[in-house]
Amino acid sequence: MNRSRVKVCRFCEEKTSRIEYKEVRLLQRFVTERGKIIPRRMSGTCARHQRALTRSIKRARQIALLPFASESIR
Amino acid sequence: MAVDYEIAILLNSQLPEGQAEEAIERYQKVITDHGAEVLKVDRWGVRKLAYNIQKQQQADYTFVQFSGDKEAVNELDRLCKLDESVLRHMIIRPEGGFEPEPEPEPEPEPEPEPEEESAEPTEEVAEGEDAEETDDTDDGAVDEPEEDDAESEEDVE
Repeated sequence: MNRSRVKVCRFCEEKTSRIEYKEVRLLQRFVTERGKIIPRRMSGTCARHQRALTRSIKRARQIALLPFASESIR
Repeated sequence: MAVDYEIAILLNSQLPEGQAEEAIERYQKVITDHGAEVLKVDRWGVRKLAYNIQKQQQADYTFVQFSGDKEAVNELDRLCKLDESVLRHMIIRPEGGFEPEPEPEPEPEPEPEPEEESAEPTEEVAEGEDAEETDDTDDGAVDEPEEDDAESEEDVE
């Protein structure tokens, strides 16, 4: 039941054309507290936006805006 | 053909007064000297790092958007690698180039987004997100795909 309700991609809903790697607050919502990217099946993001999101998260990691792994695990 | 690029420069936050600005100016000059054009400079200032880089816990973030060719990019990349005060740098090509942005940077304010709540009123999701923000719990909550199990357990109880 949960699944059917989260189905909508929130980027599609907001008509986001680009997912900026600098928007840490936004990206943080698509990352677990361990720093892992939340899969599409959980977040409901569409394929296109998930790809853009993944790219942005990985970029953000490179410049230490997001962690590769959270503090406690390291 | 000129292509849009953006470079992120993380400078050592312990640089003497004014040195950071000087470095940024210097890199801007590198860009213009190689036939490229600086479009926008975005200074974030000192920010905490998500993980330590060269034992530093914070760095001075700057983003420079420019439009140029590979000579500018290559030279910039080379100089950043050599520069000891640059903790890290990253040059990217933004998808679809830069739009004439109406808002300069949406970053500092987190943009509250009421839609987030209204779009996903699910308890499960809300709980998951809360757990992530509070940051203390084990991440078991996020990984479980079987809510059926959870429900049946509740029923039993």
